Amino acid sequence: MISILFVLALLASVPENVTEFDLANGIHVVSRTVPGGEVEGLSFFLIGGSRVLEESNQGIEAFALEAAMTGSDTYPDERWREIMDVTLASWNASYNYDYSRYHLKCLSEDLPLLLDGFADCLLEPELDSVAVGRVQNSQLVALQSELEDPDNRVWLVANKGFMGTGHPYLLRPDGIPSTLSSFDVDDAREWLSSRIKSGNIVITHAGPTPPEQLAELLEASFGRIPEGGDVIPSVPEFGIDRDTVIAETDETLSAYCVVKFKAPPAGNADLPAYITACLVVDEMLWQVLRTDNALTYAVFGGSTNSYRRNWGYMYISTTEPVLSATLMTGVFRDVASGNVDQSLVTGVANNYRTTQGINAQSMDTQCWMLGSGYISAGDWRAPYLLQESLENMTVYEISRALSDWAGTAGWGIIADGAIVDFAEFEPWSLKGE
Amino acid sequence: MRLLKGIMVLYTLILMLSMNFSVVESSLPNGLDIIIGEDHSSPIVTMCVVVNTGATCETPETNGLAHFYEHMFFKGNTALSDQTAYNNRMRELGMIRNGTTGSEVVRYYLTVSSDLFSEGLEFMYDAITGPLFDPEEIVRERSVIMNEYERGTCNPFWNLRLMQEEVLTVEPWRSSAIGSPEVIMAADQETMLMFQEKYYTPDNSALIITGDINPETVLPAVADLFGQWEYGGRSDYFFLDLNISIEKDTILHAGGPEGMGMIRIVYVGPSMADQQNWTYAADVWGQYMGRMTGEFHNDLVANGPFLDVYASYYSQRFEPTITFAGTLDPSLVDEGLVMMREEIQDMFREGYFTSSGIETASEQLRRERLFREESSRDMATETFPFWWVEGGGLEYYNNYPDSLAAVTAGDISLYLDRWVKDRPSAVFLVTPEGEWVE
Repeated sequence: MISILFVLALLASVPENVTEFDLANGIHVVSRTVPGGEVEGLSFFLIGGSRVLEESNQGIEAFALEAAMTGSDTYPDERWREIMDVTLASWNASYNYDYSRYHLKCLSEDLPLLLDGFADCLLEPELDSVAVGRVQNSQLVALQSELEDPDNRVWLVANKGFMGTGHPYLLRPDGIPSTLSSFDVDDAREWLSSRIKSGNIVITHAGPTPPEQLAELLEASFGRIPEGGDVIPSVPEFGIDRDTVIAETDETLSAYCVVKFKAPPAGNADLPAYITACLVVDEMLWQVLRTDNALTYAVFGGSTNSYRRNWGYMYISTTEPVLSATLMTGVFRDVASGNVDQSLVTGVANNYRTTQGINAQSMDTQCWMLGSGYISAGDWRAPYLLQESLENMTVYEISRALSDWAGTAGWGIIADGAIVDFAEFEPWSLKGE
Repeated sequence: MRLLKGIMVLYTLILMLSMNFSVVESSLPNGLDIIIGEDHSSPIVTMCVVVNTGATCETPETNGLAHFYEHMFFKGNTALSDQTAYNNRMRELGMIRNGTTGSEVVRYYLTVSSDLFSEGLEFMYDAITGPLFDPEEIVRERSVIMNEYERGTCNPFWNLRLMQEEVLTVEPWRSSAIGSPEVIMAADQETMLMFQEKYYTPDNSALIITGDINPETVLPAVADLFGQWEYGGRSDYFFLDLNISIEKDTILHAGGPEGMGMIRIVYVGPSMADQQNWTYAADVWGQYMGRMTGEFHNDLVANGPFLDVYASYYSQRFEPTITFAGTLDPSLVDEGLVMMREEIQDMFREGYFTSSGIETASEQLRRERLFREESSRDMATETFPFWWVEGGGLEYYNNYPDSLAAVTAGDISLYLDRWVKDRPSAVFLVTPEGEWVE
């Protein structure tokens, strides 16, 4: 039985033509109908992320899903590759703290076949050991390459101080080399068997296929997924109770520096003001660190808004990390104390509106917004409503949100110890004197 | 007055793309090409100025300055006195902007809400025609660009990139957009003005606009404003020499990330400047080789040591290449090289290219085009600029589907005979312990 609920868009920023429905097995579907084109986007969200992992199996879901997508009993490896050749469909996988996402991009005419094959791969995976071994090696190569780049690694360094011992978000959804290399076909099969349950899944869609037709296609494919699901623990607060700095040395001409700080969780009333504050921080970082002081090519700030537990951050690459961190701290304090012009606040809202307009042209981004809003805030409209909230924000509101929430700071730095004096690193405090 | 503005446009050509937006192509008397795409799917408009320049226009003494110029585009101009004023105006307009410099092309683009189209257009005009190149801002920007350079050196494939520039090109600096630190640190107003005078003229540029606009309404406004941009006629871009040469078979080793082996076999390909007839067969061939059920993939990946492989032609005017490449365990690189070379030889066997495989490849290219046309912003900032520069106008892109559909197995064989068979290649072997040795 498929029940369809049409949602009326009451606010300008909330898109029209969005439909929500549940498959018979309970899988929730959110579909944005975008008439006119031929390109479909469909995202399969598997809820859990880091919270369903342990130290010893980090990356297992990424491994299992990629392994599953090499073919199924009905669509064995070569047949599945042939379908990929003929359709030129693409699959993009991403794994994060709260969910795994598998995104399909294809033409409308190919959607029925690809959905059937996709579901079959998840439910009846072939898991040929040679093909799976290739997937495993590819993942290891990609991971190793990422970890060797200090620009990527510095974010993980900051996590160590910021998140606190034992926080589930410290577990890496894309794995670490030692765990990723230990998995085998049986591990993948077992993981898929336990996780591919209707209660763990949300599907989002953006494209020309109308909801009634989509519902039929999904019922015929993903309707076969068994009911049930995991009890996923809530996300604890980040454990940081004092300012910290963790520094690693590497042979690198540029130093990389990240600081993370607490933010309101999904659904909290302060989140829009806090997000705006971090966007203002971003503008001021560019002005002070890049325009005025020419300390960097890349500097930015912001906050997450699609996780169950969010954080703010500032980032820079520079040959002068100490001076840069001091100036970044000053920018943060200025915003937290309200020492900013209202035009900056209005400006970031303007930019946000344009960004949303850009996002509307991508089926992939629409699928992500619908899904992350639903998973993090329980409402697909959350990312769209944010735009409305930003429109009339005041300096007072943003400074209060930032000063109330962002207390202690977790800094991560990667620099060459032969060039930079690590003794000068201190856990720069974001709070005023 | 409106009629007068209409007359200023030399010609107008209306094209329908596969998706539901149409494109109008025009040219102004000052030589500026204008491409306008109408797409009402979102209330935004994107504008991109693309210029025929880049590292390929540089000398050893100016290597990095095309990129430096791109940075100065985002600073003060005759309408906005410095970068702070520039930044403030961007926020007022809610503008999202960026720029890129490659070896053969430089792009500047911005997106605004469609109700601010006129303001955005004016902003773009002021930035492209009236940069101040304030000496103090130039000095500050040297440090910014040096940090960009330093960041690049942290990339695990930095050495491979340097090696390829050195080995494949006649003049390596023409391949390196980031340039040399010495030149970056010596950049001054004079060299910026030199670049401006030579390349930043309407007859060497195109203005691309896509989004929630009506071409008939905006074209007169565009012609009115950008018609004031003074004709130059000084660019040497189309007279520059080919910058790629592989004289003899060469094997080189480079260092790479832990756990990764990589093989790249590179040949000289046909130039988009004056050998376009070869490029359609080249693209169908590349797509054919990329099929996951093709022999190339089956032999090397499904039944071989590689994790992935590809073979492709890179459409370039000055550095066109044909590349066979793959990733594998570093301990298997030598074995992989032998297998890949055998696979290349196998391509010359009669019957290797089947008509059904060519049909699939052509259909893939048609679909790829549909996927690229999903976002009109991406069309304005990626697809149109690329093909306008490489094709020397949009005609190549417009005729592309028909030209691909006409490619036969015989055409592909001729292409391979001309560009790969018995031709010298440069082989790059990447392993964690690899060093730059020949």
